This record gives sequence, structure tokens and C-alpha cells, in this order.
Amino acid sequence: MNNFFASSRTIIVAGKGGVGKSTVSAALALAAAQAGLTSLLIELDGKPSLVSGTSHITVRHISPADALTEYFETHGLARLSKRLVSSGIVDVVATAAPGIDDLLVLGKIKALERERAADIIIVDGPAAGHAVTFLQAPRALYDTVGSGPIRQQAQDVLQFLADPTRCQVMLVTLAEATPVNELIDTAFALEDRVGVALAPIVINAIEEQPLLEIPSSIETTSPLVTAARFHNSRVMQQTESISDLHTRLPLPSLRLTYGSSASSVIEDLANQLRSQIEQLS
Amino acid sequence: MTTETLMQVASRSSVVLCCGSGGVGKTTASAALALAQMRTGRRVVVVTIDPARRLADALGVTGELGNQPTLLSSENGGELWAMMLDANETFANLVQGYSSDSAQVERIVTNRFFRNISSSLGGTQEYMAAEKLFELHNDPRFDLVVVDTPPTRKALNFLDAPGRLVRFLDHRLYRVLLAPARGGLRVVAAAVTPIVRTIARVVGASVVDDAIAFFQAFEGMDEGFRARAQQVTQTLTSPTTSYVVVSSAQKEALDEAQFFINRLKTENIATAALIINRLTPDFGVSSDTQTTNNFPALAENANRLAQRAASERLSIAPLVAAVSPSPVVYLSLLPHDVADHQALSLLADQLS
Repeated sequence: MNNFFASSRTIIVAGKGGVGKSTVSAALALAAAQAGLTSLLIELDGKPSLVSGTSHITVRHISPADALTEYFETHGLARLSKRLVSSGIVDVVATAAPGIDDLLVLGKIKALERERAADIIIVDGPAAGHAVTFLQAPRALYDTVGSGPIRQQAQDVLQFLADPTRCQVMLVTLAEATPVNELIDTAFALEDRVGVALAPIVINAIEEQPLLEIPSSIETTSPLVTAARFHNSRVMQQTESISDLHTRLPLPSLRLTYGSSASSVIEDLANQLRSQIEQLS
Repeated sequence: MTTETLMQVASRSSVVLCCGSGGVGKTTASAALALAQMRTGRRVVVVTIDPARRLADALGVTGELGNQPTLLSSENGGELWAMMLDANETFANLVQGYSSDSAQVERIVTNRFFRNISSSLGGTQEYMAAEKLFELHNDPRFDLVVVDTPPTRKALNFLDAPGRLVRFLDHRLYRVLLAPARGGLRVVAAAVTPIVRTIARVVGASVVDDAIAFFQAFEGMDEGFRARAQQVTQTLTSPTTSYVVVSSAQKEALDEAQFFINRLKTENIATAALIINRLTPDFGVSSDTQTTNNFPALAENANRLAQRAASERLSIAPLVAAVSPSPVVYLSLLPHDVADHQALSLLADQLS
């Protein structure tokens, strides 16, 4: 258990909208806490977190605008920083050097990792499509900005992303064709263009029950039969998608089943994650 | 007061905007609604952001969709067109429309800073979606424009009047960037202000030079842009523009849907309809105890699905109440993706 959480100090969770990325991030933080580790859960898009802070879990929001302003303030532009924001120059800078806000957010995460803000840092990252752009920002800026503090920052973040003991990306998907296709595209883009290590893939909301046998003796109009047929077609679709995923992207996976009760989804998923992680090692 | 149906809402609209988080089937719902409206004899164009290949297949798209509408099918006098938004191209066309000086257009569209605006300046994608919508709305070829908005909280940023982009391109910002040139020699590069020099030290001089060159080239066009933005905003807030929120019963999606509904409310816009997609179908349970006893595994499965359906109904209730008295359409989770025309057609029937 602790081996898994010790393998990387930062886990950036990414996935297509609707796959349960935020739920999985929260469950991961809870699973780490249950293993006796402190975790820092970082939310990036201003959405409220699904877990509240405890003695083991700290929740923190980082927005691109804040990261940019903070950067100006710590780089000798403190006096000007308010004026920069109100005059709109901050937008000019962000547009002149695309990805600078993403770089600064990653720089902030890297700094938190460096100062060991928690045993493990979990980032509820951007949606899958944007994850690639987000993580590519340091490379792009490193290549375009000739010298100066931004280039230094980009270099530091590139080192952080390239070191699997410091940072890994955990991709989340549903067992359905469209999110699986998108996950595979994202995984290859991240490996090829960003060079970041991939943590085990999380396949979320899998139907727990196996295929049901429908005996010929039952009335075919019974709701039990329609329900069973629906279940079976879901299970077949999921099995097909999972096997497609493993053929095209041979990585270990953590399989989470459909939450049993709505009130404790996060606890339920945290328990599942713990037992799945144990099976990994 | 009789409640309208989603189709009635769409029929009296000239623009329908679908918003919601990713993964709720927003693109599919937009396509199905466009198809259903086409069948009533209207000429419909659907603007998508990035359709999955399988959905493009279902729509009957053979090649790649571009920034100009492509006719996909016609039926009953109705027509179904589709296009995929290219923010950069839309922006470049807009610039061309405001300048009679081809050298100025060339200077602007080849500038690196200009290209960055459409890919990186927050809200530009959304603004360009609104711009495209305005253009299509005034195009006599179409009766209805259906827009599939990007799956981000920023999707409604184009409602901000007079628009973030317009403020960005505003002449005043240019004045902050550049110290006033002496002696009215406007054509000669003006002196750079101390702030800009400091920024150049941080991010690099070439980056800042591009930005300044852009603002210089853009000078004089900002007024035209502002007037256009006002017209676009008028279309967006017109009574024939309807906002449809799409969600699933999943917590994350519901939170996003509520966010969109509230965001619209702050602009005094009521959500015209709500589509709840991917619901677990309610098959019911067997009332016959003998069947239940004879087939315990099947009975348990039916019970589990019924519970799931019931708990979903419970979680969507606040959202349904929030849009009342606007219509709510419930769509079931399909066992497979909408990957062919038949599946999309079936979905269009469910919406009708």
C-alpha cells in the first residue's frame, strides 16, 4: 500500500469530463489518509472539492490568475501587480507567452512537492483534452523564451515532470468506447510529447455483477428480463471496452465498480482503491 | 400555465445553445435535437466543437468538418447542416471584415501574438463561437442554429458584455503598453513603458515585441469590434435564443449544470429546457412473488437497477426544480455509443 503511494510524490489525475475524475482524486486522497499518510488535494478549476480537510487531508485551490499574480509579486513586480491586473496587462502577458499560466500553476505544484507540503500531492487536473496542452506548456515556453526567470522555471518544471518519483499522471476513464479512445490518445500524447510517467489507469464505474443467464422458463415480458438484458448489454460493452483498452495500451489498471450507495461514494471508492492497490504489488 | 415541450421551445427559437459539462452527451444531444428540428421542415445548422468520430459517423459526416457549414441531409423540405468551429479562422475572417487595407490584415494575421490570442486568451474560443453563431443566425440559408458549447465553466463567458476580447483589444490597453509618442509621429514605434520593459526581462523581449507589433497593427479596428460585440450580445440575449442545459445524474455533472443555470440567471436568462441524459432506465420490479422466488439472481438485478434509478431521480430533483416550469427531457443510458444514423435517429425521436 505505502509502496504505491511512495512511488511518486505527486499524482496528477486527468480524464474526460464525466468519468469521475474529481471523485477519484478525492477517493485517492482519502485512501492515502487511511494508509496513515498526509495528502494535499489540489483543485485547479475552481470547483468545490468533494472531500473536506481533515488532520490528514489538506485541500487547496490554485487558479492560473492567482499563480500569475503571485509570480509577479515574488519577482520584483509586487508594486505593479495590482495595476497589471486592473489594466489587463496580465492578459497581454498570458497571451504573448501562451501557457505561462499553466507553467506557473505547475511551478507552484512543483514548489509544494519540493517543500514536502504533504506525503503525497494529488492534483485534480484538467480534463483529458486540456491535460496535454497543460503539461506541454513548460516545454513550449522553454523553447520559445530565450532566457530569464521563466525559462528557469520551465526547466525546473520539466525536470519535475520527467522524474517518475516526483510526478506521475493517473488517467481515469469509463469502460465505454468514446472515453477509452480519448484516454489512449491522451496517454500516447503525454508519453511522446511531455515525457511524463503514467500511473496505473483507473477504470471507473464498472458493473460489478457478471453476465446474467436468462432461463427460457421465465416470461419474456417480465421486467426482470428487460432489466437483465439491459444489464447484460452494459456488461458486454464494458468488457469489450476494457479489453480494447488493454490491447492498445498495456498498462496496469485499478478497476472501480459502480458506487453502491450514493451517500458514501468517496469512502466506497477509497476502500476499493486500497484493495486494488494492494493487488497491484 | 401549460408547459412547453423541448421541441416547442426549439421550434420558436432561431438559436439553441446547449451547455453542460463534458461526458454528458451534450454533442450527441445537440445533434439529435438538430435532426429532430430538421424533420419538421426547418433548415438547421449544428455547430460543434470537437465531435467524436463515432458521432460524426452518426451524423453522416463523410470527410472532415470545417469552419464552413456542410449540408449533410435533407428531408421534408428541412435541411441538416453541420460545421466545426475553427476559432483562429473565424477571428481572421473577422479581421478581414474590418479592414480594407490588405497589408494591415496581413500584418495582423501573420503576427504570432494574434495567433496566440485565439488559442490562449481565455474566453476567445467562446467569443468566436458566439461570433460564428451571429454570422449563421443572419445567414438566410438557416432557420435555426444549434450550438454545442465547449465543456468548460467558461462556456458562457461570451455573455460578458461588452466582451473580454473587446476590452483586451481596447485602445486604452495599447496606451498602457506604449508611452505616448512625441510629436505626433504615430507611425514611428513609440517608446516602451517601464512596466513593459520589466515584463520583457521576465518573459523575453521577442514575446513582448510581437504583442506591441500586434497592437500597433490593430489600431483603429477596435471600434468596429466593439460595435460588432454589442450586436452579438443582443443576439445572445434575444428572446428567440434559447439555452438548454444538458446533464447526467452524476454529481460532478449536476454541479456543473447548476453552475450554468445560476450563471444564466445572473444575466437574467431563464434556462429554456433541461436534458438529463444517461439515466438508468426504470424497468420496475416484478410484483409476482413466485417469479421473484424462482429467479433470485434476476430479481436482485432488477432491484439493484430500480434502486439506482430511484437514487438518480432523487439527485436530479433539485436541478429539475431549479429550471421549473421549463421542460425537462429524460434520456436513458444507452447500452452502446451513438455510432450510427439509426441510433441518432432513435434519440431524435425520443426528443420529439
